[in-house]
Amino acid sequence: MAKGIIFTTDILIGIGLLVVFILASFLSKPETSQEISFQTNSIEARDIINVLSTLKISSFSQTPTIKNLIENGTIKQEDLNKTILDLIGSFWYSGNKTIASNIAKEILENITKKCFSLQTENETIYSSCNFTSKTISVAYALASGYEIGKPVSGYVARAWLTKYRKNTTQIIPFYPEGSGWTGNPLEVTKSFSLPSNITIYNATLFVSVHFGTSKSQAEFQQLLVNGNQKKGNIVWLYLQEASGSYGEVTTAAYGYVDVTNDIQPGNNTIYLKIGTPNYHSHLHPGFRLIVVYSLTQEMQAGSQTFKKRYYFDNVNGNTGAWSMLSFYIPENAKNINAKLHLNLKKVEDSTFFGINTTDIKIYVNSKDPFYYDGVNKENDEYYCSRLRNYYCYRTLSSARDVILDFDITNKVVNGTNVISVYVNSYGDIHWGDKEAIIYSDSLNDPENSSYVEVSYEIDKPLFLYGEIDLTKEKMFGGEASNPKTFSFNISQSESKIIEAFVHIAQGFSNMINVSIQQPNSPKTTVFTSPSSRVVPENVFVYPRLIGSQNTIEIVDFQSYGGISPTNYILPWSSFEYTYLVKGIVGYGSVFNSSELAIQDAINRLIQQVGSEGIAAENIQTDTQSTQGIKWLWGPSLFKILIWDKV
Amino acid sequence: MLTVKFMLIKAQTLTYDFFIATSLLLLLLIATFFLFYYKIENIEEEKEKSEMVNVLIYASDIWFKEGYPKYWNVDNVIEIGLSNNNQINTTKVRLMEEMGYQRLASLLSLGTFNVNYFVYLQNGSLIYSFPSLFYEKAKNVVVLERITIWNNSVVKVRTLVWQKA
Repeated sequence: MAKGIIFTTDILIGIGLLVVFILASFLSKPETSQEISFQTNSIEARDIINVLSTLKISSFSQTPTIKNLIENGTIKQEDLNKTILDLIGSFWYSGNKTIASNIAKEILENITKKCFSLQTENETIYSSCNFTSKTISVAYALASGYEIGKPVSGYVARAWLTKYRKNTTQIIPFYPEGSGWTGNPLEVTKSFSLPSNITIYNATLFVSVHFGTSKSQAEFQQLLVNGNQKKGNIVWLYLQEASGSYGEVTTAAYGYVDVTNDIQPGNNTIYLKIGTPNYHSHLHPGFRLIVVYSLTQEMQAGSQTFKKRYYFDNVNGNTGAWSMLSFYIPENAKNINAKLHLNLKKVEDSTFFGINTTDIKIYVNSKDPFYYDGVNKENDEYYCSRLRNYYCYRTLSSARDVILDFDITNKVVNGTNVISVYVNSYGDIHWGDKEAIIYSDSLNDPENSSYVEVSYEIDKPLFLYGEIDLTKEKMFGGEASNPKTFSFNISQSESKIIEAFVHIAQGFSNMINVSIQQPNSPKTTVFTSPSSRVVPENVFVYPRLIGSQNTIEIVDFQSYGGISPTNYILPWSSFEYTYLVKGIVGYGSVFNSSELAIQDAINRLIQQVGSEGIAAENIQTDTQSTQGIKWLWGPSLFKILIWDKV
Repeated sequence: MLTVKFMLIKAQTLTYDFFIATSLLLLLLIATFFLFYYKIENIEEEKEKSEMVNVLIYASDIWFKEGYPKYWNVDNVIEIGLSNNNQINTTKVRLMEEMGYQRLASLLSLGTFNVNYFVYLQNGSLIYSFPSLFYEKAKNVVVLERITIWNNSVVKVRTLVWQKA
């Protein structure tokens, strides 16, 4: 009984293995058949791609879609020699995918009994049936093509401006400067030169002063623009009263006057005379002339070496005079050299109990004086026999003229630089008997004027031949506040910025911090005042810090660190930027004649510069004959996939 | 007692179990033999088929290559090819007819194989065939259909390779 069971189990296992072995042998399909199928499919795929790459459009001129395209003029006679793959690619990559698919369908359907698909860049142009097989053969072809309807040989042309007329903006800053003490006037003369061949469209003088007593008395004594009296034409936008240490009331005033008819091409002079009975009158940040004009220029490349002279305004203070000039040096400037030339007139040398007290102080980017002529670099109030209404009584000698020259190369920085010059005054203290002058007449006496001269080199020109610089200004707007932020966008066409400044307009001011920020980026400080009352009219912003979306923040702060509660930044602060526009267009479409190609290049150039308000005065063109330029699309990979129907 | 013992041993050797086991073993051996025979035959067939496919592809390739010389004639042809610039050159097709089937077979090294070509338009119309002879008794026929260009039109070239039965 036990033997029988053992035998039955053995035989069952044996039979089972035998059955499995026999079935497996019968069911296993020889791999050779699959290989042959894959091989033949692969050959067929290659054949189809070769046919598409070889056959001309003319061979299929009677297929419905191509016939229709020929009839409506989309496909021209010269296109008929292009290949079918070129045609399909042209329509596919120009967005006419339906046309491309229809052409592929009409040409390829019934080409084979097998399933196949024409694809490019993982998109199916045409497929004869759905994918149902695990084994697919693929053949590839790389193609690029011409635009349908355009000749492939002929003439191309480029054009560039050699002379043009542009509309641009120039901003002439007045530096914060003073001062006219206790009833004596401050006289400031700004001399500047505009290009002689301009047409002025608009000139607006923004005035920012501290003067008078109450708001109702805020007025100029004189405002002469090229000799024309404009003091009664000022539109006051902002008036802010403040009481001084001795209870006197004075006013910070901001306004503007239209001087379009007073400013002229070439040399200009603006003279202003202001005063205050009890305090000292001076100019605040934001005093600037904005001139919008059109200018005819010859095309030229930018320079790599710069020598710029920044003239002081002629400041005639009574008593004491001061001025704070600002200038900039680009971020990547090298071999920088800077010198300061001062022509100070009617300086009164003072002594206090025989001590030679300081009468001239010069600050260069620092709270500590770069130069002072007496013993005390600070604490002027300690060197007075009596201090009355800000006047410091000292022993005075007769007035003299002082010419000073300094090499300030090692004091200047890349970015915004500020140089403050004080004569017979500092802060809220002044001394002297009569007027003191920071002399400048840049138009008639440039060498004897007071100035800062800066020279430097940059690695590559700011603009190349064919590039045109345009300057624009964006006003902050909004309400007067501290801090104040201004958000703005820079369009793609204006994105190549080479220079940018923030013009700060303030009533009362102390020290400022200017920063710029892009969304999701940290804030970058572009300027911080080194000491009290060092608020330049303009602050240079490195172009690399400007993006498509920007926010500028200006904060007026006290030296101890807190925000100044009433030192508002005014809405007439602005962002000035200079950007480049291409005054050149490259080779364009292919035309049958050089005349047509040139006309096309000229049209493209006029349209390109016209959108930026630039008018072509002289255009140079260059035309070349050409043949076989592949353009519009590609190179793109096309593939034919073939698989067996299941 | 001894006799009884001897009888008992003999009877156990020739039991039904023994016969059944022997039969199954024989059956298994026979099945394995036939199976191996079948598989070997199958492998041989696949090998032969594979060889035929290679001949078929080679024979069909003449419609897609230029041959040597590029523009050969009946006298100087070394390698036959009917194409130029990715299209069938009808002059070369005519030259192929001119040289005759035997020369073609020789150039293609067909050996025991035979070849036939049929060219169809996309709509299925036969426009060309070569050679015109065809044996009714053929075996091991393999077919490959390929696509190319004839007179600026898409055509299907059907290549048959076969052996005489």
